[in-house]
Amino acid sequence: MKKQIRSASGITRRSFVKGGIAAGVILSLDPLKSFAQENAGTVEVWVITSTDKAKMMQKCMEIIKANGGFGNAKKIALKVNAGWDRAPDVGANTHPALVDGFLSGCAALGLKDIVLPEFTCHPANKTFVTSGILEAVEKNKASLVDLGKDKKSFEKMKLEKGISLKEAEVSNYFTNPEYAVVNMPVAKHHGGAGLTIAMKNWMGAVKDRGWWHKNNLHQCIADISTLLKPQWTIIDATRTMMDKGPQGPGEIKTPNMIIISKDQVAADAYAAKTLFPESTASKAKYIQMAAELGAGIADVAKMKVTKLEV
Amino acid sequence: MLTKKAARWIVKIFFLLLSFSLLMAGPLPEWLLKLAQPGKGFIKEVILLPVWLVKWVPGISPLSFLSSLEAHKGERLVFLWLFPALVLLLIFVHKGRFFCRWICPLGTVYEATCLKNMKTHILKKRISGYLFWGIIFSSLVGFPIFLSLDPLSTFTRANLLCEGTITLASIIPGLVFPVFIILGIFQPMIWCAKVCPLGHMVDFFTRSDEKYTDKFKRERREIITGITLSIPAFFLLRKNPFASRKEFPILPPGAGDKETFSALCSRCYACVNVCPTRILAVDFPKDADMGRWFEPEMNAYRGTCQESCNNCTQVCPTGAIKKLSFDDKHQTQIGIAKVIKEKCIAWCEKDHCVVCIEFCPYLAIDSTESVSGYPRPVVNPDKCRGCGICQNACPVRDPGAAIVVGGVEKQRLLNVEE
Repeated sequence: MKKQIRSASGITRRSFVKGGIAAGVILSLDPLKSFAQENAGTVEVWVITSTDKAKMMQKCMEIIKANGGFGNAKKIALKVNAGWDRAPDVGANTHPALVDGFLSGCAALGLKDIVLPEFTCHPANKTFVTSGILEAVEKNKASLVDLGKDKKSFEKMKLEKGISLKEAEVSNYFTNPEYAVVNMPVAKHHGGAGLTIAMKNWMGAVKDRGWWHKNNLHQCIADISTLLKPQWTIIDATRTMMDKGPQGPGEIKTPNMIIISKDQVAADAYAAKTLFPESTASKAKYIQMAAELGAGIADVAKMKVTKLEV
Repeated sequence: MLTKKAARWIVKIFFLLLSFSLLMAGPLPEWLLKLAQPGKGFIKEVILLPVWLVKWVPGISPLSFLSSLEAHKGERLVFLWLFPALVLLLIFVHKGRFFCRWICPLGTVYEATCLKNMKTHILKKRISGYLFWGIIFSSLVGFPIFLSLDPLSTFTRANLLCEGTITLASIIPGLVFPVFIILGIFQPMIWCAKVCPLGHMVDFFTRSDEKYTDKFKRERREIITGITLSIPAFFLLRKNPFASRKEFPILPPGAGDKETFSALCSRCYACVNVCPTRILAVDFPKDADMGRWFEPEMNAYRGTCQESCNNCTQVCPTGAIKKLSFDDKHQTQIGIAKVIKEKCIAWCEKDHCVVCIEFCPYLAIDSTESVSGYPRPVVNPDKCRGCGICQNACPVRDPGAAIVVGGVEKQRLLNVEE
């Protein structure tokens, strides 16, 4: 199994280290530069299927470790979706068992400094508790940041490639080169954007998301994906809300999957295509828009998909 | 040997600390938690004492008990929580000013702050009788003008400072406490001796050689003033004909309707202090009926009425906010949202926006599709609870939102199945 992962990745540890040192200077200036861009055409997607969430995350951490880990970063900024005052089985937030698995996996790798900044939709004091995220975070001694109150952490960033969004105030945990950025969203239906998976999750990391709604929401979501490029995207599709999103309660399906990629556009495109009916998936126009901006690959035919069952 | 004076101070300070900690029941203020756990990160809500304990400070006052009894027309007489007020009334009858000297937390503060004073007499006349009878008669007509002068309500109000819930409008009723601290420096115990309406009630009810009929005779001047005060309270102040603001206020769940609420609210602001989102705050709608002045009302620009919270319904000492179970609170309609189509991004077909539909926790906003395919929000008035999250989240601010919650004439229980 291990062998398969390594050959599937296309990058050996040695070549990664070499590349990493060479790109170090550039990376320190622009740490969020997509790995997918460097390997255009050979974007990799891993799909892990299981009913055991702890095992799933163990496998996920093995894949991450075998494919470069988190680079040189000693700290991690993790963006989960914990926006709604809803219990885990509604599927409105990232499942706390997966968050727990990720945090304990990071601790095993020696990464102990993990922050989870989140700008919630419902009041944070209820949301973090009901979603179970707070419990998972406290168990692993990571720290949650309520961006709704901690306004100081927002920093104005320029989006050079942005078409609609030219400037955004983004939580600086996600732009600070000291942090490896990981996006860990839940895949679900969304009334406004069609679907919300990985890229749409960044709306919980900016100060004025209201502005996006007035200025071509889909383009803004695509634009932000040129600035916020996580090293890893891990999509929670253990259960998916098929309608009445983003908060439900709606119809639930249980694909029992997580989808992993270094390219968030590819992760979004793959999840949209495999998890949702065509009529819903086609409404998420931002995926194609992001691909057109060069933020990643949206063509599933160009992806190297590795399916694993644990 | 412990002198009586020392013992009295020990007991007084005990009750002061006790009532203060009761007021701090429910979620502790954020600044306190930040002090306790410095550093960044999300600070979890900490509840040391259950929130309903807050009620036991303003709620033990026999004066607000009597006043609310009149306003309720006795219909909530069975409530168990009236019991302590009755006990206190019995203490009044048998022990007189024992309560004032040994228990009252406001009295303790005033007594402690005027230990050094100038011994002047700025207020020679006792006005407490006029205030007391004013409260009694204006409660009868449904607008207790001076009920906020109840000492326990006044003490509760001071907690606004501690909880950081102070607003511009709450400063005026909030000033009673500090102003009399300052006045106490000129004339010692000016509040307790001359102004406190509860103190007058104590004196009136204390058993003595004088018959109660004689007491009424002796106080005829105060009683007539009380009746006189209640006339404008009934005709002019309660229903201000000059009020230009005709729309209904958004009241906390369980308040019922505007008239009942303003007749019962003693302005102690216990509900304001336990509201986790700050949607409930003190307002001064100067162009509305005077009954609404300084009463706690909701404004969805400040916050939202949380789906899983019934804090304010648990703390009201006068029953102005009826106690509601979580299920009943969840089904109570306190207002109805209305889309202002001329402002709405979706209705003007400026962009694809359904933020209100996304945020509504009750799935109370449906969408209709325009010819060109824009989904547009439509509020379902039989599902909308008026929580205000749509107004709060609406991206339009010019300066108001494109979906605004308005109050209802009478709050009602919806019967929505979920």
